[in-house]
Parts: sequence; structure tokens; C-alpha cells
Amino acid sequence: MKNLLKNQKWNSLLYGVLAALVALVWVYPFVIVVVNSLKTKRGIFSNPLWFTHDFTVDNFVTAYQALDFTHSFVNSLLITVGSVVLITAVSAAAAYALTRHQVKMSSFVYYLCAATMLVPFQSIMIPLVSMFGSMNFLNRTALILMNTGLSVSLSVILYYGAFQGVPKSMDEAAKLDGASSFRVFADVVLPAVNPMTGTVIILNAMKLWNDYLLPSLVVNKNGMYTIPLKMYMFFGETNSEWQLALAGLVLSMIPIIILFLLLQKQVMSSVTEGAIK
Amino acid sequence: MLKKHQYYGFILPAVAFIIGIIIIPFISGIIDSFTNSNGISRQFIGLKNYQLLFQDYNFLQSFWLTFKFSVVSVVLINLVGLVFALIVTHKDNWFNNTLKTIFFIPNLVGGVLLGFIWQFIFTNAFKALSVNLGQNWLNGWLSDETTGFWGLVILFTWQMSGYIMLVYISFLNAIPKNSLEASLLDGASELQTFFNVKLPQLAPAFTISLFLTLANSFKLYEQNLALTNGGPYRSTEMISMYIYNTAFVNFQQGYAQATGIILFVVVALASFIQLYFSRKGERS
Amino acid sequence: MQKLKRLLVLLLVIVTPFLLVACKSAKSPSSQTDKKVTINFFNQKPEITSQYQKLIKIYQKKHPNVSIQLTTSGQGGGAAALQSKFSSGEAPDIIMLGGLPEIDRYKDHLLTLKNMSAVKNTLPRLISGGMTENHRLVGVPVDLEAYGWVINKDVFRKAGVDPDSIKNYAEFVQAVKKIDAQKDELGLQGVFGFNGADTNSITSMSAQFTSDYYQNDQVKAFDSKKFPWEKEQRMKQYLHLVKQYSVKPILSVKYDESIQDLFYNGEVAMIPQGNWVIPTLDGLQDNWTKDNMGMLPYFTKDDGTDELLTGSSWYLGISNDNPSHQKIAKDFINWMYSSKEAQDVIINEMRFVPATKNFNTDRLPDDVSKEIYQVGTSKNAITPVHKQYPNGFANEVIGPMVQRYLVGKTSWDNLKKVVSNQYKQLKEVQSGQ
Repeated sequence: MKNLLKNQKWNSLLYGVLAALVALVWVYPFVIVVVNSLKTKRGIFSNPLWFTHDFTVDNFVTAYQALDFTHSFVNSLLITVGSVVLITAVSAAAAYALTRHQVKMSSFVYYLCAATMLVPFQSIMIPLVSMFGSMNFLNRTALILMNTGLSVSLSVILYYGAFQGVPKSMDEAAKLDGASSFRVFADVVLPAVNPMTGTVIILNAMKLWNDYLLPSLVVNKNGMYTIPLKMYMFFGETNSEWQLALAGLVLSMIPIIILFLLLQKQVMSSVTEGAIK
Repeated sequence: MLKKHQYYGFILPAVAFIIGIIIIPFISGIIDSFTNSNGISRQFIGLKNYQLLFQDYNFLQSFWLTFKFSVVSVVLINLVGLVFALIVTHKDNWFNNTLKTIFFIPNLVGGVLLGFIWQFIFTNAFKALSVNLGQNWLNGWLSDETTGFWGLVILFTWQMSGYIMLVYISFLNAIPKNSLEASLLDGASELQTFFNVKLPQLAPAFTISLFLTLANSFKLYEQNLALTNGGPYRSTEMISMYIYNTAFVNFQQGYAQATGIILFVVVALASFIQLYFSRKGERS
Repeated sequence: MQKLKRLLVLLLVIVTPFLLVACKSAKSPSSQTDKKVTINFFNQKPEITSQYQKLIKIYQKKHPNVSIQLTTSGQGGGAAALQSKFSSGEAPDIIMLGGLPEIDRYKDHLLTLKNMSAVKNTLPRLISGGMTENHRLVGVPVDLEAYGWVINKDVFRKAGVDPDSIKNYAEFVQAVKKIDAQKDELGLQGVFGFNGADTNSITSMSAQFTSDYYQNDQVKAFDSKKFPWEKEQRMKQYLHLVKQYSVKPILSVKYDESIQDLFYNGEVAMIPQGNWVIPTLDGLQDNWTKDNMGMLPYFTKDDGTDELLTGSSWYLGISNDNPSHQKIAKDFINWMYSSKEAQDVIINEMRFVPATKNFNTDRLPDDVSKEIYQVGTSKNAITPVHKQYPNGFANEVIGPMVQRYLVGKTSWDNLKKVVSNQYKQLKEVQSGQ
């Protein structure tokens, strides 16, 4: 019995070391990027695998200016927040109505959402952009509208499941208290599905913050660049100046990673929910 | 509960967005695919685009590549994701929670940034490794057809495994504790417990993960752009990049749109197959 | 329970003004400026951004009521960025255009430049490169560039090869072999630093074998529905030579690496570039090119008349979308092409060779520039035609096919077949046929 316990201890230690090793390998790409962003070009050339004796933070100053970081950050934020707010409002309202009235129209709209989820973005990208282009309407507002249209389907379906879990008696009780339909929805039913609202916000925000393809077709111009767009341009301009490119990469990653570390549990459960539903 | 006009008021915005942003472009896209549109002028040319596509070496090659990539990625990502899930659900402590965070983080970073990170690793870090270790095969990964392909697979596995891990974790956590304990009490080893108790419960997780990975790899663009940009000689150009370049570099927009329609058909078929299997799985 | 909703409302409140401002500012970009006219200049050559900025600063000092906003896009993103500007109705006033396919795409937005003073001085041979299909003049050449081999004279000297004595293909091959034989003593990685990763360089190389066919008529080159194979044998020979004597693996060599590492450090004898590499090299060490850099042509005719190809990859055009900006745009361009002050910046800092008639070559800062001007104004001068290939042909067709050929993944016959077919297909689609 003693031997067995001892064995178990060794086993779990071995397991711990192995798991830690795997995690180190997994995180190493990030480490290597951070390490090299703090070096000069010469240092990267001589040994890109670890620190050399040429620590510098100048790259970050240069990259920050070249990326026009404050501006790009605000653009990314504007587009992401604007889209997410619109998506959440539009899809919550629709899903609520769909669950409260089981009429033909409701199931039609539900299946419409399900069906449009099947359409890959690349299949509509060209006509979508040329449609907005022909109206001379390619800017941040247009991008927000497009993002909303492309994300509403999934969000409606996510909300649909959540609202079904809210008993109709809740609505009725509120109604009897004299609340208007909108009040019932906004003050009573919507707060009851707060976790789902969190999920919808997080899923869409993650996707849109990192989006490149559609923004590159819609807001690829001065004053409207988002972080991924600017990063792509910056990368092209830095040529073989890896130290600058890497500093730019680190800068671009910082906001989302900080936010993630703050909201870890919520993000992971949202992602799981979005995947399984 | 809602009056009729209220009901329509609630659903109208969503329906309008779906029609305006997806349905109309989709229909206009189908029409465009029968034209020789170059973005400015167009003439109706019937099925010619589709005929040409099936003789187009680059199209066939990028489709085949996307397929190969999807199969390899699905296997690798699910394997790694499952192993990660088993590691972090082993015990509930701070150590495993940290691991979980580490495994998931690559999933937060956008495709463009990921592509650049790995471009640095494959060009500079691998080069340094090849010099230090005297291993020549580590050199020039992104300028070779085969290693370029594996570069993309590695990047995608790194990005997606943490995501798929979460799916497996949620199913693993749903397995009743007592059935695991019972199995262990019966004298089964951990490995036996895994195969006899855990694995059968994970079947639906596998279906979900399979199609999540598939869908994501068929739509892969940014990682492709930032890592290899299709090179060398368009050998790592996946289907999304093929569509983008055909439409916005060559300005063959009708032709590109025909490719987009084919992509839709393939994705839709895959989804129906998934639906069929998951329904079947539920019944049995 | 209420927290989330409050957060949402808060976000909405924060975002709405931004959105409104965004919409507004998109519509009226210059609403606040007092009488000052702002024009937009779209540049597709990132390497000369700072010099353009300098020119603009000088000009603005002289014309306080004019403001010029420079936008730079490049590295392959230029065409797409320009497309998005036009399709969003924000066409720049001064546009750097790359070749007739791009001119053709935007011809309805481009102003006729016939009577501008800058145009009157243009080298006559280069005029057709700034025309629409029906010979309406819409662009002024940016500069005179030379295409050929950029050679490291120091390596040639040490190898005992006199570049001036090479007069035909056979002698070129001989020189390559002689240098290759001393590879180890000279510390070379290869004779050529051919940047095989780069489809643009491959494309401009291909122009060495196709340009002669069109005899400087860029409109004819643009109209052509076929890729001219008249010199395919020589093209094949050059590719084999490159394949054999270049740094390997050939497809992993990138543009910057080939110039700043391989060429600058004397690890290769030549690279397939032109005089546009001068600022980069002199940026690494002052006056480096003065003693170390020379140029050699491709030998395709072998009759003693082979010279560097010379022409302009880029042309400046003016948009007709905003009539009130046209005069200012014209004045600025005329100033760049005529005032001594501007030209000093252009020749000494951009290191451009002017594409104008009767330029005093004594003003040019180096021998290579002088040689280029002399070749470019001689009667045998030929303009490279790669900028007139259909859109996408460079990066999607000929570049990748030649790359395949270089690593033995396709036969020459297949390369010819694919290149010919795709050339025709792209040309037909893009001309709306």
C-alpha cells in the first residue's frame, strides 16, 4: 500500500513535468516574439532563440508611431463595439419575438437564420462589396452594418435557445403589472438571459476584433485602418526589419490578451457554448 | 403576447439585415457567376465559368489542397485537443487551470498576427536551429511546397487545439463522477477507464469538433495570407485565397464568384452530412 | 441583473457620437479648413515616401493655401487600395498609376494632360506608357528606371572580369563561369543572388525577352492578346544559367535579403534589379554604390545593340472627380518636373533619373545614373513592357510558373501553354470581352 502511494506520487510528478513541458512548447512562439521584439536587428540575426546582449525598447516606440496605434485602436474599438451592440440588440429582439409566438413566420425566420449560417463568407464577399461600392458606401458605418448582417443568424439562434428557457409566465406577470411589451422584453426577459448576452458579446467581439478580410475590402484607407489592417501594412513596409514587425505584433496582441486574462472564465465558457450549440 | 405590429417590429431588423447582407448578395452572386464580370462590365456567358473552372489547374489544386489540409488538420487538432482536455481535467487545481489558459491563448490572436508570428519562427528561428543543430531540413520551410503545407498545418493546429479542447472538456466534465470511480474500483487502469468509459461519451464531442475544424479550415484565409501568401508558386494557395486573388487581383469577378458558389455547395453538403450523422447519433 | 444592461446602454452612448462623427467626417473631409485647399496624392512607391513628404513641405511653404495629403500604399497592396478608394468615391487627386491596365481601369476618372508643361518635356518614347487605349494622354512618367543585372564591381574586379568587355551572351556565360570557378576564394554563395521568392522580379525579368517585340509601343503591348515567345530560347537559357549559378534554395531568396545581405556583403556578384536599389545600398553605407555598383544588360539580340531596358514603371495621373482641385494638382506636378529645387531632391535624394528631354547629365550624382540617362535617350532604347501585362498576370501566372520551372516542377512546354492561355483569358476578361 505504501509502495502504491509512493508510485502514485512519482506518477503525478512525472505527469506534472511532462504537462509543463508541453505548455512551455506551446507558449514558446509567444515568448520568442516578445524576446526578439526587445532586441536590435543584429541581435535577432545572431540568435533569434533567446535574449542577446542588446536589450532595447526603442522598437516599441517606432512601432507604436508607425502603427498609428492610438488611432488604429480607436477604429478597431469603434467598429467592434458598434457591431456588437447592433448585433446584440437586433438578434435579442428577434429571438425574443420568435420564441414568444410560435407562428409559421417564426419557424420560417428561424430556418432562414439556420440556412444563412451555411453560406460561407467567401461566397458572398464579391457581390456584397461591389453592392456597397456601387452606392459609394464603403466606410466604418458600412462595415458595422455588414458585420451585423453576417453575425445576426448565429446570434439569433443562440438567443433563441436561451429565451426558450425563460417561462412565459414571467412575461405575463410583468404584463399584469402594467409594463409595455418593450419594457417586458428589456427589463424582465433580457436580464434573465444575461449569461447568453455575455456569450453573444464575447463571441462576436473576438471574431470582429481580429477580422481582416472584410475590413481590408471596406475600410482600407487613411483614417479608418483597424489594428489587423495596419499591422498587415506595417509588416509590408518594415521589409526585413523583424525587430519592428515583432514589436508591432506584441503591441497588437496586448489588448486582447489582457482582456482575456481579466475575463478568462466567462470567455472560455462562452466559446464552449458557441461551439456546442 | 406581442401585438402583431410589435411582433414584426421585433423581428424586422434581423430579417432586414439577413436579406440585405446575405440573401441579396447571394442571389446576385449566383447571377454573377454566369457572367464574365470584371467588376465594371459584364456579359452573360452561361456556364462557361464553371466549365473553365474544372480545367483550371490552380482551382483544382487549391481545392485539393484545402481538402488535404482539412483532413490532416481535423485529425491533428482533435488529437491534440483531446489530449489537452484529458491533461487539464485530470485534477482541478491551479496548475491545470494555468495549462488550460496557456493552451487556449493562441485562439485569441487573429489570423494575420498568427501568420506573422509563425513566419518569423519558420524563417528565423528554424534557420537558427538548423545552424545550431546542424539539421539542414529545418531550413527554408516556407519556400518549399511540402514544408509550406506543414507550416500551415502547424499554425492552424496551434491556433485551434485550445478551442477544440474546450469542447472536449465540457463533455468530459459531463461524465458522471461515480461511473469513473466505479470503473477504477473495478480495478480498471486509467487507460482502460479512458477507452471504456470516457471515449464512448465523447462521440458527440468528436462530431462537433470535426465539423468545427472542417468549417474553419475551408474558410481559412488570413493565416494563409500572412504565412505563405500562397507561395511558393501558388502551391499553398487555399480556396479562399484563390477566390480573393481571382476576384481582386485578376479582376475575374464572375469567375471568382463561380468558385464561391462551388464552395457554398461543398460547405452546405458537409453540413447536411453532419446533421445526418448527429441526428443518427442522437437516436442510437 | 441590471449591470449588463447598463453596460450596454453606456456603450451605446459612448459609441453613437463616434459613429456620427465618423459618418460626417467621411462626407466632408475638409469642412473646417479655412480657405486652404487640400489635395490628395496617392503614392505606390513606399521607399520614397519621406522624399515626397519633403517635396510637399517645400511646396506648401511656397503656397501656404495649398495642403497636400500623401497616402502611401505598396508591397502589392497598392492596386487594391486604389480600387477601394475609387469605389468609395474618394479618388485621390494625384494618382500614381502602375501601367496601362491600371490606367484602363480608371480611365473615366482620369484627366487629359496634353497641355501640361511637365508633359511637353517627357521623353517621347515614354509617352505611350501614360495613355489610354485610344491614345488619350493621362499620365506623366515618374522617372527613368533601368532594368538588367545590378553588379558588384568589387567582386568582378577581384575575379578578374571586366564587365565592360562583356558584349554578348556567350561572353556573359563565360564571365559567370569564371566567377563561379573562384567562388570559394571570393567568399561567394553564388554568382547570382536571384530573388526567386519574388514574383515581381521574375516578371520584370521576363520583360527582357518580350519588350523588343513591341518596339516601345506600350499601347500595342497592352492591347496584345498573346504573350510573345519570339525570344523563348534565350529566356530559357538565362533561366537555366540562373538556376545553376544562383544562391540556393533559389525560391527562398527574398528581395530585401538579396539586396541588403547577399549583394551588399559581396556574397553574390549580381542581382536581377535596377537603379532603384541605389538609395537602399547607400542608406547602408554612404556612397557605397559609387565604387561598387554597376549594371549589365541582358543579351537577347547578340548584335552589339543590347542595352539596359529603360522606362518608367509608374506614371502620375490627375483625377477629374474634383474639378476645383485639378489646377492645383497640375501646378504641383509641373513644379516637381521643372523647378531646380524639386529636381535636386528628386535626383539627389530619391536618386531618380529624370524622364525628361535635354537634361544636363552633369547634375546627376553618380555614373550609373548618367549611363542610364545616356542609354535611355539613345535611339536603340527599349521600354520594358511587364507593366502592360494583364492584372494578376505577374503574381498569379508568370511568376509562379517560372518558379515551378526553376525547381523542376513543370516542363517548358507546359509553362508556355499555361502562360499563353492565362494571358489570353485574363486579357479577355479585363477588356470586357
